[in-house]
Amino acid sequence: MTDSALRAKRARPATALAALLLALAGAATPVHAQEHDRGAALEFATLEEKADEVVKVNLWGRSLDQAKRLLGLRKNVTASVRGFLGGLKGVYRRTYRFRGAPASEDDVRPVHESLSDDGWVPMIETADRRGPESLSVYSYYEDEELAGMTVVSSDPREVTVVKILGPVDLEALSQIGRGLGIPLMNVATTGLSPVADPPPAK
Amino acid sequence: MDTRSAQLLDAARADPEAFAGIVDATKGMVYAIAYGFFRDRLIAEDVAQEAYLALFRNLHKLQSDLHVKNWLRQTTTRKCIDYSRRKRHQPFVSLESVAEPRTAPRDPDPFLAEELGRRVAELPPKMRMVVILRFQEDLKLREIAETLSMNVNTVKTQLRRALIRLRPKVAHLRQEVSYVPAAR
Amino acid sequence: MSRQHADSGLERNLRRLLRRTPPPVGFRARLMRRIAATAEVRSRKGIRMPPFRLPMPTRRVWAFAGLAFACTLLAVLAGLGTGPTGNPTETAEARAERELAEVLQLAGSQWLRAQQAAFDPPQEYAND
Repeated sequence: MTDSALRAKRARPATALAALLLALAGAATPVHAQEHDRGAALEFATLEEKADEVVKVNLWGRSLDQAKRLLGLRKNVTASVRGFLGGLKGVYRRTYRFRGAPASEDDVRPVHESLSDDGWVPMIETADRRGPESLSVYSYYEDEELAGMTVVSSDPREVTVVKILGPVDLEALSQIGRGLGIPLMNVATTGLSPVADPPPAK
Repeated sequence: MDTRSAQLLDAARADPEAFAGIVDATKGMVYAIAYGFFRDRLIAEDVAQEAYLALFRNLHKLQSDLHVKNWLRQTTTRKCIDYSRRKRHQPFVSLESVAEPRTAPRDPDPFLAEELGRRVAELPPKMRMVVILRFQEDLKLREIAETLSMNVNTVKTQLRRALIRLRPKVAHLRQEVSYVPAAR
Repeated sequence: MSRQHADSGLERNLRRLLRRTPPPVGFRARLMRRIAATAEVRSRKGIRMPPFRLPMPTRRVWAFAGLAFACTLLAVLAGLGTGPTGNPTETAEARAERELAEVLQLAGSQWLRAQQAAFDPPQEYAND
């Protein structure tokens, strides 16, 4: 995604301030609002107003560099994952949880429209025929190279958008998804590792 | 299973808050076994979570004569040993461990405790687990045998071998860390 | 450790010093979220699981909000203290690292799910 496209979608001042405060809480470093364009491009007002719980993660610049460095130092990080980490330019997450009124397709539509407007191309789109659940993977290309990936998953209780900017090594990403490559760090929402059979009940 | 466990189990099948109650009642044991085994907070938490996931999946299978605590202890020990074999885990001081220090040492010999813990973590998996169950969890030999599906004599042998291995490694530490002039 | 054993010095030391390490702060919350996620994924795959919904009483939401506010305040103060070129604390680095790992694991698992759905549809849809 280009910076100009991202700047065009800069969020309202109040939302930007909230994102800035969250980034400060996450990094405990002074972050200047004017530098924080990319995360602000991931604001979805409709979802945010309706959600009961919102999770925002913005990792870019120095905080991303620190995170990459620490994660890269871990013992069981594979070489391909380390290479993938090295190329990352920004990692963002938005999760909206709904305990009252469920999220509808209309609530999620602006997410897809926003991505299409910014030049993201659907790579995989899946939808449950029996329910309102869907999962879409978007890609972004620069000079015919995969330069980013966005995953949008939605169901009535939770909508999650994960955006990764930088060259995406799909094999490394698959490794991470299988619980390999980097240590499990109390992953809360997914990333389930295979669990061995429990001992038989006596 | 005692009445309280049975009630907890019944409730937990329908109510996540009640399942959380089981977690609260047992997490000290589950986490401590995993941490004592790996000496790594991230791995310990992951393994402990997997033990609870297994419990959650098997809530409907648990019989009334099975105590939740025993089941969890057995599952945690097996997962520790399995994980260790699968990953060939070598204990190391993780960055996460450094990032969240304890508020205050809980015992009079914190350095000795740390060193001893590291030495224990270097033992082979089953031997290590026997030591943890015996000295940290204060189980009887018969209870350790049941937990690890060994016979009591094997537990005794493992314990004896563990002590033989540990003795020379920690002999110097007591002098070094908590030296008190002997009054002879 | 109340039980009496005919211990050697080493055994006494082991008994005295090998103590339980308490679980880290947030252990239960992270576990419950993981269990909720497992239940959700499995129910999507049609695997029977006990019903589960993440408990989040209102008071806890307020507690989280208060905690987040306190953290933000501390972070702002820390930022003021160190200035634009100051070194961040280790804890902040560790948190950024954890968040990076979490988001990548989330993206990775969703990528696998999407692949599975696209190229390995459930049997019931295979003949559609």
